[in-house]
Amino acid sequence: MAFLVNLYALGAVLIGIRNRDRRFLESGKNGIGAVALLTTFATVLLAYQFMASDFSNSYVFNHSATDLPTLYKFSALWAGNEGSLLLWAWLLAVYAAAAVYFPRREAEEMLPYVSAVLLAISLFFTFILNFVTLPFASMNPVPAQGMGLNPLLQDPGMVIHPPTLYAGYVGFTVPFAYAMAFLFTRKVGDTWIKVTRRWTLWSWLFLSIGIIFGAQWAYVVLGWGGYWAWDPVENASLLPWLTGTAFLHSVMIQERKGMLKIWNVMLIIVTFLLTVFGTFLSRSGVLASVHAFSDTTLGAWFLIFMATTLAASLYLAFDRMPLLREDNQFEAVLSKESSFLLNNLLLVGSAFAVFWGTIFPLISEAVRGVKVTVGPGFFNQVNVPIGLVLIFLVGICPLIPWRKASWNNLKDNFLYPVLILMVFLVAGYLGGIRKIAALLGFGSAAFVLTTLALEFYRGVRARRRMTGESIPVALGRLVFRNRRRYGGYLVHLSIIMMIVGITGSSAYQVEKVYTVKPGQVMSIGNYQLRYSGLGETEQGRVGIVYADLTVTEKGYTYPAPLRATKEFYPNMDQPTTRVGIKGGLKEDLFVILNGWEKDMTANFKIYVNPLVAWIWLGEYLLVAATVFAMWPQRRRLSRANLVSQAAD
Amino acid sequence: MNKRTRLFIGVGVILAAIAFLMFSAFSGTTMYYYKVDEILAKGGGVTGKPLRVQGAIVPESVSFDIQVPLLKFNLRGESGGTIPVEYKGVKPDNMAQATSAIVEGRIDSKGVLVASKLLLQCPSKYESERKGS
Repeated sequence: MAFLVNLYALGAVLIGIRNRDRRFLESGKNGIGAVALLTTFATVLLAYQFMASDFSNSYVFNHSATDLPTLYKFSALWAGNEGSLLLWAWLLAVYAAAAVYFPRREAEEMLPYVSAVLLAISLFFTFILNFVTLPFASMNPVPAQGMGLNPLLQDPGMVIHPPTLYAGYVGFTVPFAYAMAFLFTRKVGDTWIKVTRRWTLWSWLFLSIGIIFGAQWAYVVLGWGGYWAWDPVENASLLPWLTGTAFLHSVMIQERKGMLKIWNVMLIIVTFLLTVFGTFLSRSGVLASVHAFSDTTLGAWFLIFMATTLAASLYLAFDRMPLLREDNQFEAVLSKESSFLLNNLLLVGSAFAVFWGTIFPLISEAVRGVKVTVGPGFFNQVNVPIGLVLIFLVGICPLIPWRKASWNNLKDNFLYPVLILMVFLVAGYLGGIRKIAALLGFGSAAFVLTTLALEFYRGVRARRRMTGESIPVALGRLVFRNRRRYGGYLVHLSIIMMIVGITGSSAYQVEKVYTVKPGQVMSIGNYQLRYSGLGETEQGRVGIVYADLTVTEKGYTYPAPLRATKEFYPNMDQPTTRVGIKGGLKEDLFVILNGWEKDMTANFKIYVNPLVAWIWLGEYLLVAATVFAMWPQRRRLSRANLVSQAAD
Repeated sequence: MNKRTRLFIGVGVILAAIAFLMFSAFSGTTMYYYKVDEILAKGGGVTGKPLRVQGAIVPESVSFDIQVPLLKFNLRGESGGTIPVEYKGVKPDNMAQATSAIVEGRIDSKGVLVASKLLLQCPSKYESERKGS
């Protein structure tokens, strides 16, 4: 039945390409609808098989069991290659249907081409699902019990992380398809950028959520004390985010000034390819990684697909180069345009460095026959300086004027932020922040906060002068009537919150290892943890060994003990560690029960991770602010329409 | 000097800065990735260098002292030769189940691979192994 999906897709592509005929076009559109319905059906069917623990399906058998909690039965859907790729194909089909059935009027001419591109990509995934990794392979005889789900994946983070990441990955396909359609139709203009703004934001939003939930999952579940290890699969999700973020910013320049057109086309091509590359990296296992999946035939297919797409899209872009002539030129070295350009260079430079570091083992093996890996040190040494400059740019960019900045203007805008930065640096240094990266990290955050506050203050002041509104009303209307702009500022604010968290936790993490007997006390930072022995309990077929630690902070003893556990799952030879975390805005106390002996001597690893909570808080603000910036501004539009109608 | 050239110079400087960052970060953080047999073939040539070594875990050789804590085991290559590994840390949960490992660390003067990081590989977790059944 999944094969039918493929046939439909194939037929629809062929018809879609012969677009001269209206009837064929309609049929192509229906084909997209059919693909969407059929992949939806396949996904729902697989989900149903998981819920019903139907082990006649070998994929279900391999990733589920009857006693798995309902939530994880459902999330086991994307625990392996087959299900993940089905999710990809399904999301793509649904997005394609959404793009085709609810088009923007100004983009109607492009639609046949958009459909063709989307269908061609969808064809690849349905092909893979039907001939390479089959989500509906059957088992005979039907086993009574499944293999169970990898306990590491039994966490709310893993329920949310893969689908959101994929929703983001796949979303970039639509702007890519529009960019290709723009090149195909030779229709001069920026329509493709305007109609895909929401698609880009949507994808960027989900990609961001996916990445951060992945980090949160790693923090809570993997239990090594951190949230980001520059693991190839982590890098794979960061790469399209970096180029996607660059794209999100550089399209503004094209919209406003008609510049950077070639750059934007290239960026979306690269971003789309990186989303496929990310899927390829995590699903083919070419690089040793904590996520060790392996299926080399799948990898080969992905490589062919990526190479073809790259060649085709680059050919198209170079062939249509005259379409991409710039309307304007940079007028001054110091201007908003140039700050956007710098932002783009840094983001893409960082993406390139991450990409290079990630694939270097493959390159060195191919060239010199020795696999050489680069450690996290490389990624940190390159990305921390780039990141710091980027953060300062977040502060500078909104305040610097278009076209050309004058000295007076710079003085007006940056006097206070720079003063605050100086005061902060001096105070921070005297206050004991001696690590240069931490000082600059917090300093840049303070700088950006000041510029953001200044922007809001000026907006409110201008509004009050014009309308005489009270401060809260003026602030509310200012923000609500300029959603895109102030939503963007709030996204910047959320990034700053995360930077504060990242700076604090990476510069000031404290780590201690203790081997203790019952009754002994371990101390770290302001905390004392008293170990009083191990307990045992059971949850269904899962055996749990736990240590309840009594935590005292600066003389205050918390009523509830902190529990660190090891869980023993059926079918899994090794226990799974569940970290005990006592979180707060200031810092997290993070306890790992490492192991024990018969006399209850136990080994613990304890961390104090400062400010980590700010990363997750920043994430919530990021979601809220992005949705806010995306939200259609109906009221104002309709009012404008009324005015123009009245004028007619 | 016109604006275009100045802009190009600006872009060039930034790209050069990024390239420099990559280059300078690169030298200190690279690690050679070898299999056990390759290490044995090189003899003392790799002593003290940061390495990533892949090999099979010899199950009988695993010993763990929780007091230190110190984990010791041997990595075996395809030819049968072994390298002793010492890891100052706690035995990972999946040690018993792991068949092979990637060890990051340096080889000391006694020929012991002193590990800073262990990455265990557990085949049964991954479906490709099970597909045959």
